[in-house]
Amino acid sequence: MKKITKEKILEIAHNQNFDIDQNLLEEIYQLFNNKLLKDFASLSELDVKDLPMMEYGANSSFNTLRKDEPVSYKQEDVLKNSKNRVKDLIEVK
Amino acid sequence: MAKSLILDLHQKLVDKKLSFLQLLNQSKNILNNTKDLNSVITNTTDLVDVKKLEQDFKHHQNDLLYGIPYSIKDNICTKDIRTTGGSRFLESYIPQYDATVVKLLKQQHPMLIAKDNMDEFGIGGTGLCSYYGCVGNYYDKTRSTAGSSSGGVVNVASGASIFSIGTDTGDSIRRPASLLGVVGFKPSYGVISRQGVYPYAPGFDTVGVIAQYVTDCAIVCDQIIKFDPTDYTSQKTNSRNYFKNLKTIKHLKLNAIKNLEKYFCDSKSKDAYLKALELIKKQGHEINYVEIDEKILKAINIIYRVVSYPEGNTCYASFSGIPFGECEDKNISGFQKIMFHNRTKYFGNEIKKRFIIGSYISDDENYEAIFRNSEKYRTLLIKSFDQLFHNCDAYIIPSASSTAPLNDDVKSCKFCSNYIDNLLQISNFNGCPSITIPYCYIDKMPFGINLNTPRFKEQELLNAALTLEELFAFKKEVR
Repeated sequence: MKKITKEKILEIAHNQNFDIDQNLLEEIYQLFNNKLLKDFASLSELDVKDLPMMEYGANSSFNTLRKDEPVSYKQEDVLKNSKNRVKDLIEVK
Repeated sequence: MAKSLILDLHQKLVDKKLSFLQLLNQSKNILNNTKDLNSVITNTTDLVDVKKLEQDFKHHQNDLLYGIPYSIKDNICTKDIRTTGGSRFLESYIPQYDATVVKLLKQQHPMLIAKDNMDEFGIGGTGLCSYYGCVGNYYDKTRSTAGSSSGGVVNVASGASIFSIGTDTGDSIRRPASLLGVVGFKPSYGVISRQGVYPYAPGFDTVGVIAQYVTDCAIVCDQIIKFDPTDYTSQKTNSRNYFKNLKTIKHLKLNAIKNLEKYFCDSKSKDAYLKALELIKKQGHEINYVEIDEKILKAINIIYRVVSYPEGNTCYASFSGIPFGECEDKNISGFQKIMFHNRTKYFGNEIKKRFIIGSYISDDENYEAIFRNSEKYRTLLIKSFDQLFHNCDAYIIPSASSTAPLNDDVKSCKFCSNYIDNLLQISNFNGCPSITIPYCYIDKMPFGINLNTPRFKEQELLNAALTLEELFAFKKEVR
């Protein structure tokens, strides 16, 4: 894993649809390059070559996903509020 | 005899030695007197219909939670009561429905007194990352509560809430419980419905209970542990009689991690943990030690970050402020611009930080090296810790490496969590039940012990916890 550059941090932030200030940019840059990078590198000491990917339900101490179809809420109930909001915005525009 | 605030209050209400109004006023007074701790986002005491509670009580004499004051973490939807998730993004969001866990509680009509303050969308783990302000520790407000269920734990510690419903993704119920001297219970993944609960990392998120006593946790769990067809990860369990089947164990067999004491930074906490083990052995219980490779202990928190950060990122990727959330500036036009403006303005710094790191470790460049293997690392952790479940009732660990650190030290990173603090995350990796119970005070600050059992062994865990609760006889001090 490579060091993260400040340009990359800003690029990700913009892809994530938000902006960050200079202080946060510096904080992320320092945290990642001075601490997390070493931490992530240490994972390579662990031998996981022959281990299966942890899929939810794969291990005896973990859960088994249900096979049945979950009941869903009606979209119109959940989005009653949001539809009004969208309508407001459209009217303003 | 096992202690229970819920049973005490219920009996007093039945015997008419206490009225619902007195109970409500007591909670109101405590909330007023502890305003400086900032444990509440929305105070709901004015919504309680005391007259109706009094009138209908005759039909609910067997409902132990009837009229009992409680609070809910503010990432759990409550119909017609705003649910902010600790975020500015949802400052005025009022859900149209109750989360399943709230619906189940409402069947017994407990008294909702507050929506608890929390780190934004459960992300932070310090009690310092809420838009609604930092939460102060009940015993010393300059000290950390940890998080993210910080407000709920403070409200239970102060006595304003008799119990609180929180969520636990890494240790969000159990670590704050340790720092505030209360019981924090995270059951198996999926046994309490997450429908209507804002996610952080859906592979880890678990709804749990905070209370003063183990018995109270069992009573609340009887009401809220139920299969929910609206939650895809909901699990069927055999028992809903945790309270009825609660018992102490004469000869408890516990496993502990060998040589764990060398990782304590604080000698007083180390001594307290070792004394707890000695006390357990002196009472005729058995403790066996199991070795866990230091490489594994070191990797826990890193793997937690690798799995949880990208999951959190995905959950909130579509937050635009248009269907939900704040969107005050209507002069900006264009979906992309509105979204960019809203996400910049309404997300806090901690959440942005984790989204950026989560995105970087799962992007094309790092996918093969790190992210693709993350679920293999998770398997490794689970397999390594499975040996701690062998031939015992539960395994025991300290629930924190120290008592509550100063908030200033947490902010300036002078306090760094160590291997011991990361151990609680294991039960989120393997989805097993885990409980923190208070053990003692160190320099007037509480210190807790944590117990864990395999999946769906909630009853066995509660029984082991009750046994130790009686042995420790922790006496709550009022500040």
